[in-house]
Amino acid sequence: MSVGESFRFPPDKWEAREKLRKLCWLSIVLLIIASTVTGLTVGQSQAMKTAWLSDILTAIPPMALLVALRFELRPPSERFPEGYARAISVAFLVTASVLSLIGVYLLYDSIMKLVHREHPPIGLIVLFGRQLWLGWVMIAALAFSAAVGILLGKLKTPVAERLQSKALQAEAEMNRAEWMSEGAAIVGILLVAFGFWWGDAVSAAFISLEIVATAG
Amino acid sequence: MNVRQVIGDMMDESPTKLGEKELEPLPGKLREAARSLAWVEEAAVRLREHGHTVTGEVFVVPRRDERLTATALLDHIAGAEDELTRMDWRLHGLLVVPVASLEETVPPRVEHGKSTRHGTCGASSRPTPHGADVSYVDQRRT
Repeated sequence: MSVGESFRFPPDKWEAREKLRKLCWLSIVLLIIASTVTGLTVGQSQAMKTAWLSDILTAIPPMALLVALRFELRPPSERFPEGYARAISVAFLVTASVLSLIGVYLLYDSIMKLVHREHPPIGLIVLFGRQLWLGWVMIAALAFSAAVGILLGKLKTPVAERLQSKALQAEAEMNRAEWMSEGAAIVGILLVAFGFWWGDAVSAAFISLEIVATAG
Repeated sequence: MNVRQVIGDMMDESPTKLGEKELEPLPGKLREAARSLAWVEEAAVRLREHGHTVTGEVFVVPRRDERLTATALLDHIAGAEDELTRMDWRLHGLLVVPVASLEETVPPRVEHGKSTRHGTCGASSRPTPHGADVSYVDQRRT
């Protein structure tokens, strides 16, 4: 029995924990790139604004987890005699909150669009001297961002299982929520292009319900 | 699912399976392992999650034995802490606590989603530390 000793991971779990740390950095880098790409194509579209916001929000939990990993193995102190293992629970709290926030915001946003009968304008831009429908640019940006989400979710799930890490598992679910909402936005843009002004909002509403259900 | 789990963590919920509501069988396993020790009469386990780790207490009632010295008991406890901690890699700072007796060894199981307000016993009478008998109101109902 010792009151001054911090937890020691067994070698194979330590390996998984190192992988977790790398995944956090990878998430931050990829999500910053994705939010830059979506940010550049925001324009007038509410769907793109939402995608941009969720890219930025989903970069927060990996940051929180990185900070928590720095604290986790500190030996207990006079102020924190139980040690710092619960820093990971704090990161989990951040992730669960962000996930709920994204879900609730997306739901609110899409309902308001339906209430106001918003007809999202998708214009043309001139790219390399040629006219291009902005919808294609938006779809490309969303597809990139969604691919980032799919990749991160796929990489995180097995590591979360090996470490029994609820914090990382929640992050994987958040990445899944993100790519699903971006997929819905792509469907929405295509529907808008074919004249169904509500396509954007309805597809977003369905996804947001799914997100709220995972988050709660 | 996640918000519920975070709140559970804050309320020192017994360890749950990853991504599920279901409780882990670990407390029961530890209790069985503790009870199977030769010097242990009865045991009760209380676990909670601390981030990636799991911690808690194993209360044990040592068998009454006039010849059991304090030194031997301490050795038993240290050995049990080592052995039990090895049962799951996440266990950290697990305490084996010798107690004189255990009234209840397994907390009542309440089906998920059902009200926990109706406890198994009503007003109970038990001696206070000062020796006077005081009848307690069932405070769980408030």
